[in-house]
Parts: sequence; C-alpha cells; structure tokens
Amino acid sequence: MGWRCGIKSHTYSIVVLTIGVLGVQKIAVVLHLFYEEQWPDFVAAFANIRHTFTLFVSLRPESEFADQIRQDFPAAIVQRFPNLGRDVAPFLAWLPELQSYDLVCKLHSKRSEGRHLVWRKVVMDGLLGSVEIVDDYILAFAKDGDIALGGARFNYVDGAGHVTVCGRALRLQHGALPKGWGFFAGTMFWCRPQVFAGLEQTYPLACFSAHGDTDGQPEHVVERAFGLIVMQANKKIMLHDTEILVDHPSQLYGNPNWADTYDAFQEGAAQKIDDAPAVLGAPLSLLQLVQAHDGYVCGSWSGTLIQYDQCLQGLRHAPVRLLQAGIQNGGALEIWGKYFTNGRIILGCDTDQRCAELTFEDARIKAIHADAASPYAKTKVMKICGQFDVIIDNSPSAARDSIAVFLHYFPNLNAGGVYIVEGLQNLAAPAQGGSDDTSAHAFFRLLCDILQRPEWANQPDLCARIAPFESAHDIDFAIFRSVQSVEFTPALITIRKTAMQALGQGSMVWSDRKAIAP
Amino acid sequence: MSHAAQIKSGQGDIDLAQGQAFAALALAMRDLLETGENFDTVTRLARIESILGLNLRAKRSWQRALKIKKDALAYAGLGSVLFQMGDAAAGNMALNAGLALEPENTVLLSSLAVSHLYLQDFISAQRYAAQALSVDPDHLEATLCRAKAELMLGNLALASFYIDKLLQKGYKPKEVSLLQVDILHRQDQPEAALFIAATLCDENPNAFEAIKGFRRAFRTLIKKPARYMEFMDGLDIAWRPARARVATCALPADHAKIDVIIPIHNALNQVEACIQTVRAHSAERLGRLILVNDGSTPQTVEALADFIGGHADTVLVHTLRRSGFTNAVLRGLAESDAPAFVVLNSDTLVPERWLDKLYSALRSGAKTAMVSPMSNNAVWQNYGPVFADDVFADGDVADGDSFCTAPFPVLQEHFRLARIGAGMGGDTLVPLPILHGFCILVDRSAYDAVGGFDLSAYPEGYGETQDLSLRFTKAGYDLFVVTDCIVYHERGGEYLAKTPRKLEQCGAAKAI
Repeated sequence: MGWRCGIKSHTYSIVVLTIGVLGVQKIAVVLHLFYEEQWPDFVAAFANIRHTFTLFVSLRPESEFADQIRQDFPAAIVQRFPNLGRDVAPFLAWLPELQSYDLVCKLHSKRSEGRHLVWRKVVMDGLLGSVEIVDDYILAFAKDGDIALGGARFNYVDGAGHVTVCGRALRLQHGALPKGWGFFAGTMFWCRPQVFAGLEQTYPLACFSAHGDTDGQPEHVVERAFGLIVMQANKKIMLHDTEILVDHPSQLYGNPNWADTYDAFQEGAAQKIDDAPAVLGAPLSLLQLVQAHDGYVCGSWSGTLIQYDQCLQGLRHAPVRLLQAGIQNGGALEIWGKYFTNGRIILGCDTDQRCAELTFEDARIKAIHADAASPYAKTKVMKICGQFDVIIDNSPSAARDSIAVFLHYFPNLNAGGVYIVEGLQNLAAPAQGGSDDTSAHAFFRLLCDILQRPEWANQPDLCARIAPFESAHDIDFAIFRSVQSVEFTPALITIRKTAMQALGQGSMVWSDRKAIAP
Repeated sequence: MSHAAQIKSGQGDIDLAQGQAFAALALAMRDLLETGENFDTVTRLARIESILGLNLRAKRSWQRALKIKKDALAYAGLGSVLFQMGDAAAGNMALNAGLALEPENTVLLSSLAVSHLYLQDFISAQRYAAQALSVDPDHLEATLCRAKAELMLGNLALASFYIDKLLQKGYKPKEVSLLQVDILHRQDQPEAALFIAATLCDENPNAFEAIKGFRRAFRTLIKKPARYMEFMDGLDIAWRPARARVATCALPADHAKIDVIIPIHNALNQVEACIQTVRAHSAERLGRLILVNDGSTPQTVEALADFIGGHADTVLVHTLRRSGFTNAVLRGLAESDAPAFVVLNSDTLVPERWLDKLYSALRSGAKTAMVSPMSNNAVWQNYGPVFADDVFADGDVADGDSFCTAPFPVLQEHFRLARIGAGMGGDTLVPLPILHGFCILVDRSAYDAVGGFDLSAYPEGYGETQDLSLRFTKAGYDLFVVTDCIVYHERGGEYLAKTPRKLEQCGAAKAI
C-alpha cells in the first residue's frame, strides 16, 4: 500500500531523531558537471543537505575544474570522463562504488539555454530546494525500505506515453513493458542504488557514442529504464510536491503530457548573455609563426593565414580548446600550439592513418586517425574533449562531408566560439550526384538567410530550402538558432556561435521621449 | 580475448540471444573503434542498432557502410530503417538501389513488397512478392506479402492458398490468423471469422486489430438475423425479446432518496448543463448531488463552488490532485449513505423522470444490482445503429469497425427526443452482462457485497464498470438496460489526459 504525508512541518531535529531510530543513512550526491559555470548553483543547493554526504563529480575530459570543486568540498571525488553518454554513462561508471550508500541523489548541469535553465532550476528545487525538502527524501527512504526512486512530482512522466523511440530497445533489454510504469524525465532523482546494481554491465560504457540527438540513444533508454526497473522489482517511487506520495508505480499517475510541461519552461526562461571573450594583444602574427616554424611541415597561402589571424584575434589569449579536421603533416597543430599560448587542448583528426603516429613535444597537442565526417570519429574526439572554442574544417574532400562535419561538431562549439571552414574552391563543387542546391556553399549561404529572417522556422520557403539537405543529413534545427554570424572571406567561411537566447530582435529600446512622428 | 576475436567467436550474437542487446552493441562499437572503420565493422554495428530500434544511429551507420561499399544488404538495412522512421519514399529508394545491384535478392524484394503494402499500392506489392517467390518459392515473408496483396486485390482464392501455406509452416501465426479473419469475413463466413477473432482477442488483449476484426465480423453477422440467432443460440449467450423483462413494476413506494455522484475534471460548460438537467429532472428522488472535483483548474473550482450556492442538497468534495475517474467516484461514494447511488459522467444530459425510471428498474427484481439507460453515445447501449460507417478520404463508405456516435443535442432538442423515446413504449429492461459506465444506478448493498470498484486495477476508469458488471454477474445479480430512459452523452469531454482509446485498451487488458 502507498502512503501520503500531507504535512511537511517536521523539523531537522525530528528528522535526525527519526533517522537515528531508523538507522544511519549513508548518503552520496552524484553530479555530472558538464557546464562548469553552473557550479555555484549546485554549491548553494548542497547547503540544504544537513547530513554528511559524499560528493561525486564527473567533469568533461579536458576539464581543469577539479581544484575549484575541492576548494569548496575538499573530500569530493572528482573524475574526468569522456564526453559520451551525457550524465548517464558517468553515473553508471560509479554505480559499483555507490552500492555502499543507502541513498544517492543524482544531478547534472544542463545547457545554458533558456528553457533548460528553468527546467534545471525547478528540478533542483524539487530535489534540494530546502532543508525540509531534502529531509523529506531522507526520512522517507529511511522509513520505507521499498522506496527505490524519488523526485519532483511534475517531472515524473507516464512511461507508456513517453517511451517514444526507445520502446524496442527497452523491451529487448528488459522484457515486456508493464502497465503503469513511469520515469523521471531528465534523469535527476534520489535513489536507492542497490536496486540498479549491475546496470553498468547491462549498458556497458562502450555502447554510448557521440551525437547531438535528443532521443533514441542508449542514455535515453537508460533514462526510462530507471523507472522500469523499479516497477519490475516491485519497489516504490516517492513523488514530492505540496505533499508526499509514496506508492508502487502502478498506483502513481505520471505526467501524461511532458511536452506541455517542457514548453512551459520556455515562458519563464531566464535571459543569460555570455560575456564576450576578452581581447588581448597578439605579439606574433600567424604568418610570422608559420614562417619561423621548424617542426612538422605546415604550408598555407599567406592570405589565408592573414584571414585566420583576423577571425581568431579575439580568442588569441583565451584558454581555447581547438579541433582541426584535416591536419596533413601535423605542422598546423604545432603552429596552433604556439599561436594559442594559453590554449588547453589542440586536437587534430585526419583520414590518413599515419597521423596517429605523429608525436608532439607539446603535451596539449594530440592527433587521431579518423574521418571527421564519420559518427564514430566524434565518439573518439569526445573521449578527449567535450567542447571546443575553435573548430577548423580543413578537409573538405566533398561538399557533403563539410556539411556533415559542421552538423556533427557545431553543437560542441562553446558559445562565443568560432567554426572555420577552409578550402572554398572544393566546397563550390556540387554534391556527388546532386545539384548545386546541396553544395556546402549553398548550405552556408542558407545559414545567412536564416540569420536574417526572424521566426524563420515557420517560413515555408526556408523550410523548403533546408529540405534538400535533410535527405542526406540529420539536421537538428536548433543548430541554426545559435549561429551568431556567417562571414565569407576569399579563403574561409567563419561561423560564430552564441547562446540561443542572445539572438533574435529582442525588445524595442527608445532613446528619448521627443518625437515629431507618431 | 580482443574485441575483434570476440566478434569472430560470435560473442555479439550470443549476447543478443541472451537478451544482452546493449552488451552486443558495446562489443560492436569497441570493435569498430579499435579495428577501424571498414564495411564489416560498420555493418555489424548497424545491424545491432537496427535490432535495438536505435533508428537514427542505424541510419547513419548504414549510410556510412554504403559510403564504404555499395552493397545490396546494406541498402536493405537502410531501407528498412528509413521505412521504420516513417520515410517510406526514401526507404523505397534505398531498397530499389539495392535491387539494382542484386535483382534477385529476396530480402530486398520482400521488403519492397512490405513497403508497398504499407503504401497501399497492392499491385506493386503483389509484383514484388511474386518476384521473390519466383526466386524462392518457400520464402515465407514473401508468401505473407503475397497473401495480403491478393486479399486486398480481391483475389480470395489465391489469398486462401497462400494463407493455408503459411498456416502449414506455422509462420507468424497471429498475423496470419488475422488475415484468416478477414478472408472468412469476405467469403461470407462471419461465424468462423468470429471464432478466430475471439481467440485472437483472448490471446492478445492489447491487439486492437484483433478487436477490429471481431467487430467487423460481428457487424456482418448481425445483419443476417436468422444466422445471427442460430449462432448465438449455439453459444447459449443470446437473448431474445422474449427473454427480456418488462418493467411492469410501479414506482416503488419506499420514497428512497438516491445520491448522484458526478466526478469533474474541468469541461465547465458541460458540467453546468449536466447539473442543470439533474436538478431540473430528478424531482423528489434525488438525495444528494455529490460533485467531486478531481484536479480541475482554479477557475472551474470557483465556478463549482458557485453552483452549490443555495442548494443544501449539493456537496462539493475534492481529491488531493487529479487522480482519475475511479478514485474520484470513490471519493464521492465516501460521502454517500443512500441505499442506491448513481455515477454520472459530467458530459451528460438527463431527461425528465430519469431517476424514477432507473430506480423502478433497479427495484424490479430482488437480484437486480445495477441498471443503466440508453444513449446517443454509449456503445452497445446506443439507440439506433450501434456500429458506424467508416468514411474514407475519397468519400467512399465502407462497413466500419467503430461504434456509432450521435451529436450532443442542444437542451431543447434533448428534451424533445427524450419525450419521444419515453413515449415509444420502450418499457423493456434488457438484461446484459456488462453495462456502460457513463450513467449507472447501483444498489449499495449489492455493490458492497461484491467489493465495489477496483481502484488498483482501474485507477483512471475505462474498465471499472465493466469489471464491476462481471463481478455482479458472477455473483448471480441481474443487470439491465432501461430502454425508456435516454441519457445523452457527449463522451470525451473529461479525463482527456490520455486518449480514451489508450485507456480502453489498458482497461481491456486488465479485465482479461
């Protein structure tokens, strides 16, 4: 039978006393911190946990944020993970270690886009919003050993109505889907880790790949599996709202239309515009660096180097993470190492398998053998670095590849970052077996048109122009909403990225009240 | 053992066979990343992604494989994935590209047959299936496609031939049985079709196609009265007019009051009209009108509170949150101590003297536990036609498998029709094993005796009254439809969070 607790006035001392009677709870908080700028929000939320807990934090593969975390939580267990499987893969990796804990709170950062910021905030509020809320979870899990999962009520969704494209995989892996199951959208919850023991073997880390998809990947299957497993184990779920509801999933009522809830976040979306990166002086030009270079071979037209210099000036002294597709002999990577003196990662990728044999004195430089247009290359890249500030596509062997590389990696470009395509003469060629309409040139010109048209997605003519590209590519329209500018120079196409909410017309700003025309 | 060696030893297939699909996926992924991207590593991955239904990934992998090597089976894989993603045209293009490489590839030919069946291009489906069978006469998927295509083209003898062949081989028995239902129906053998469809429904309670097949066959049979009665007599479940009870009983003189419970979730306009007719037409028989607010908006709650004003017999209670129809009914029942109660949907309009008529029927026999009126929109309790015609996009009309609905009348029209209905001599009580839950009058002691509504099995309704009916029948109680009482029902005006179809299927599964 389920139970309800309509009054939430119990104080901390009562909870401690009750938990003391029921047994000491060993608590862990597991945080996947992909967006490090959100760390202060989590620190503030952790203040509501007035019990001893162990903090596990997973970071991007290139992150240097561990020291900051240890400053705030000296005993925190911090680890860098490949940027694969989002928050789910790191959690699964830690699951064996979590078996010694009674209660685990699973959290993660979400991208700094309006509705996601709001979603994260309300989910966090539902899990860690106050001392009382935290104590509600701790007390409930201590009181009822059958509770396996708990979270904000609004975030608990009806499984059958939201299984989407994951149904087949779930059935294959977990058997028939029972009636009445549900799960927490977004995979943030309190849980009893023993119920999920062995899940890391069911979903080995290697099954996760790099992608920009919002559904249909193993992490989305696991998101649903958490709820399904609880039901199959005949355990209970706790829903937290103005009252507490604890029952078996078949007796709970999952949100039947998550899309409406998700859309509502947009209305309350907070505005957040990233500060422009600082511009500092650059002593040696790129041209001068190439001329003085004595490492691996690097050759380029002087005009091209000058154009690179112009478009990268703003990032010259920033701690950039750079990805270059097409590195030839590796000399370009060494040049970039010298150019970005404060750079953190210089990563190259090339179809020539000999590039994997390249060795570099500069430890920041790495090269891998892969075709950047291949989805598996991204999986390799994401194991090394999850987000970049500069991405250069210098390998346009076919128009189609340049589009594919852009669609693969632009989502992983940081806001304020630059995406550069070199080799216009190749890009101008029509796509193989197609017409000029599907050339990379046409695609990047299309980006300009999209930028110039507000609410473009509703305009049939633009959708019709995107359609020919969709037959060859999986295009997530969200990409277009974060393009800040597209610049064509004789040798380069430069696409700058910004946070989505920074775009658009914004509101009308008036300078004064005097006017002669109405 | 290296991942390449594990692949060679068939570990991936073992994982798949043992239900460890993601372990197989991980193995294929590791092999690709370690061995490198080649046709074998990519297609192996694509195949597992396809099996798992990770279609977007599978599509990319098949496309990648085709970039490495133009291969017929890779085209088959890509075509199949595109088809599953709903892009039938692109799927067909991929399959045809494969066929250009291997014109006699039976996988591609049968896939194209399936694709054209889906597109309702039955002639092309027939052609591709025939081509596949000319290459391999024992190709079972092609045989199934051929049977379907012949059936849709009206070639019943040929369709029968291929169906018999499939039955002999035991290939996809459920799907083939559905075809059998269809063909028997078309061959004017609805009785046999009904038997097979009923078996399919029993074995696959969630398969709506089986229910549709049953309804189609039943609809055909009911149009042949003699055969219908003979068939039903054979099953010993039929009723004849002679078996119906005539409600000769006078209005009971017990002056008992009846409580009316109305669960409400928004739909304020309908609620208002419903309450208006209940108050106007229940006379002295009405005990308490119990309105149960089940998670409505604040505006609705405010309006409901206004409805109570000046009506001492009306009670407004609330569930803690939106909790489903059955829970709301139980919340209302907790307020009732009447000897009998009505559960009434909020999207109904009740006629004059409705409560007296229903109560007379309820007290017409000592074992009568529940009665329900006729309606414009209560499935088997509909007046007029029960089944609707299906109207196709081109205006063509065919025998349908849906229940008939009639529009919700304006109040004046409702009163006029109700008076006509009452004057048609429809004082017959029709015994039924199951009553529709839109409006039921239930004897409280009988209700308590069988344990009442099953909240755990039907928290949201859609099956709770059917379940209660079956338990009443099993306990020896009688249930009747009251033919001289017509309650109008809009249906779908409330509890719309999930589609009624989904809830019905869920409820049907639980009942079975």
